[in-house]
Amino acid sequence: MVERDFDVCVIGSGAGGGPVAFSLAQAGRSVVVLEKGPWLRDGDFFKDEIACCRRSEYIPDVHDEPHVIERERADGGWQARSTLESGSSLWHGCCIGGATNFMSGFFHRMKPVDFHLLSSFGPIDGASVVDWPIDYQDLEPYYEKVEREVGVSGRVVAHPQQEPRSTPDFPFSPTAEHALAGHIDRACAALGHHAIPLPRAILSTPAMGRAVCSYSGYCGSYGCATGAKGSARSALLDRAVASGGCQVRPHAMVSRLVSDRSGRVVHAEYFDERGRTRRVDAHIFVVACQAIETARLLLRSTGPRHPHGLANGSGQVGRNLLFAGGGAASGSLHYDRFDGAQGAALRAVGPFVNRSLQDWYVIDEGVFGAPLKGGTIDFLQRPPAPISRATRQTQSRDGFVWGLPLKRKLEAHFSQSADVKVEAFCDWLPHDDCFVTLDPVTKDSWGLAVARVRTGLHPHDLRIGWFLASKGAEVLQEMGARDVVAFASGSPPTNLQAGTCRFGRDPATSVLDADCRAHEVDNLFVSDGSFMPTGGSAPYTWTIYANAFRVADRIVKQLPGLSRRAESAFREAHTPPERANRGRDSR
Amino acid sequence: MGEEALQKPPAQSPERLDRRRFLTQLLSTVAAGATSRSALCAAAAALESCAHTGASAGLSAGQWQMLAAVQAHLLPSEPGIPGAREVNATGYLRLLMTDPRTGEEQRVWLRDGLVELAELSSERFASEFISLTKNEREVALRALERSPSGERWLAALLDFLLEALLGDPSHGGNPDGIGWRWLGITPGFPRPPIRRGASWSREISTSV
Ligand SMILES: Cc1cc2nc3c(=O)[nH]c(=O)nc-3n(C[C@H](O)[C@H](O)[C@H](O)COP(=O)(O)OP(=O)(O)OC[C@H]3O[C@@H](n4cnc5c(N)ncnc54)[C@H](O)[C@@H]3O)c2cc1C
Ligand code: SF4
Repeated sequence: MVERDFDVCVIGSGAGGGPVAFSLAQAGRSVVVLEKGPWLRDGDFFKDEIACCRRSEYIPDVHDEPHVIERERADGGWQARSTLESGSSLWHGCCIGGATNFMSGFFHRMKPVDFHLLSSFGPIDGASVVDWPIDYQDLEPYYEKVEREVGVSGRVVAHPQQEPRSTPDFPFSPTAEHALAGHIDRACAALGHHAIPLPRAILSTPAMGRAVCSYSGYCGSYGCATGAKGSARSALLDRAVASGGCQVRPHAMVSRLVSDRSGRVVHAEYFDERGRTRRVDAHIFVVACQAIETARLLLRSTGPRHPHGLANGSGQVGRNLLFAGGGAASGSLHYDRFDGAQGAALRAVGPFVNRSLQDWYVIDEGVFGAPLKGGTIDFLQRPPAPISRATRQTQSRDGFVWGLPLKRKLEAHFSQSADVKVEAFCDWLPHDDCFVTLDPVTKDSWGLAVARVRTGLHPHDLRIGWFLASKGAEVLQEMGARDVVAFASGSPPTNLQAGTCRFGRDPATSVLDADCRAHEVDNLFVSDGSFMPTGGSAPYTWTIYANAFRVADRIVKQLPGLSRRAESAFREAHTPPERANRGRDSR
Repeated sequence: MGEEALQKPPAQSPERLDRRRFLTQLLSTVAAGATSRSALCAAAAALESCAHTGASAGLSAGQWQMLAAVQAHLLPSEPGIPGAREVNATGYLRLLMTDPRTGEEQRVWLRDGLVELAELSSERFASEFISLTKNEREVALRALERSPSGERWLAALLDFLLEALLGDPSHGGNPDGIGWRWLGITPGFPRPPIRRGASWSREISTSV
């Protein structure tokens, strides 16, 4: 039974859902957010490595909600394994705010060149690279909006790859910096590189009712207890709810979007906390469940006009799944090389390293012949998660280390050096062996077909990942780090997902139009990273947030006008008290 | 974890054993028929003994003692430096195994490893593990490490030991942050509220 009309129903409450709910509530529209996970508040998050990272308490148990992952075998075939068997998981934070609660907040914009990869660099064999249907300039105002509304701290410095900006600097100054940043700056200067301050989705000063970062040192993978982290929950949804126009429903697992004979979506069907089937109807539906789950929801939402899944007449839903390509490097700065004060500064826990290199965002050094798209290198401190670090000390080539040798190894590991890590990001090229379908056999605990995910990598990504990781390793060596290692990685970092519903101009080769509206269903939008036909060479979340704000503007335009009564009620609610009083006084 | 944006799937980092993987390994072991008849019989016997001993989680009091001895070997106590005993490793594991969210397969897994080690000790030394000398214990555990199931068991046991050493005390290990103090670790804040573990674990730690 239909409970109530909403202008808009948003499914998924993370980076893709938050800006839509926020913007619509601000525009005086009624919006409901359906989220499968619970509503945890700032006060529910603690620095508890066992809870967050070893028992994975913020994501569903794979027994209830597995995925099936296909990995490439040495002989070139594909081996499918349920996450129930493999122990890996494709979930990343199922609660109000989604994975943004647990992100580290490394924020990079995409650059103008990312919007035209095909025309700038030409095709790559075996990859389905295309140009975006919009330009950087179309997204720039929304990147700027994210800086203000979500809160991005940083400092603009001139460097060869700096993207154009409509404002001279960030609205929030950089977060406190760790002493390692100085070492990185000096090494980069000596090598002729341009180390730049890394923007963070973390508040360096209190704003918008949120507190400043407490520099607990335990940030990525941990929920934020202060509200300083720019999660969709604390930055957007809390404000959307406070404005009165937005209703958030936790524990609402959307099972399908029901469409009518004309092909339009008429309601979202979901299971509530008690397992009862409920329905919501709305003028417009917005899907933002993260790329894999978004594709899964559309694929299982068949209807009279959509026999192969909602908006899937072209067979494109689920294709061109993206992770993030790249590599990594690490090294140790031994404290014994530094005097007391320097050593003490290197031992500090809390401040952020906040340094990146984008000198090779386009690799034009002749190493690969013609110029190629490169990427971003981020520097970071070794994560403070002590259990996970300690468990690594039990490994050796000759078997487990235990007993007194283990104790001495632990003492050395935790006391001798500051470890620096490099994460290198390049494009994960879209191609035919990276996609999502519905598994024909495995069901979740609601009886719904689970996503089957093929995670093939294009070999080109390894070359670029290796190139970037080596550049990062050179910096570590210049810093005097010991035990420097670098590697390119072909395993997908599953917390960074995009693609599966690419946007484009041609309905035969894309799922969404340039506004992220489904070509085949005019009241269906997708606002998470699924729209991205190529992913850029940096973590995606700033772009997801920005695009979701852009999509929200398109939705506001598409909605039927507000009734006069709703409009005046909205004006009343949104007029600041002092202005309202002034108005009354002068009357 | 920590300050990083890239996150590899846990399956790619063999050193990490989280609850899911732990369970999964058990399931695949059972599915592969690796649980020997003798192990199952011993498990059944252990279950039976629970009824009239201070046993818990399907392990007899004797098996908990044996487990404590294994943990003490893997992380021995030294003057002024904590070992398995001081970090309450056995109490921590007992809490985990009696947690309602812990599946029966995990308890069976824990027991299977003990049974395998007990068989190995009696074959090699005609003695119970708990009566072996330090060197004999090392030989027995290294022999256990060579069997695939033994290796998985030890890997997980080591992981749980380090959780007891460096996890938040609210989970029942690392009393008063003794492990953090030893290794100079600054815990994050806010710290989690006390779970049912902390006080209960003290009681348990003295009972094994
Ligand atoms: C440890 C970690 C560190 C990270 N660090 C960074 C970083 O430094 N920089 C960066 O840019 N990115 C980072 N990320 C990635 C970032 O969190 C994601 O890019 C972002 O959250 C994706 O937004 P989304 O809206 O697609 O998905 P999410 O934010 O995950 O939101 C999707 C929501 O949809 C819900 N949902 C799914 N299916 C359904 C359904 N059927 N019904 C109802 N609800 C449903 C989910 O429960 C979830 O809450 C990190 C992620 C993790 C896990
Ligand atoms: S307070 Fe700061 S360090 Fe802690 S989780 Fe929030 S943003 Fe990260």
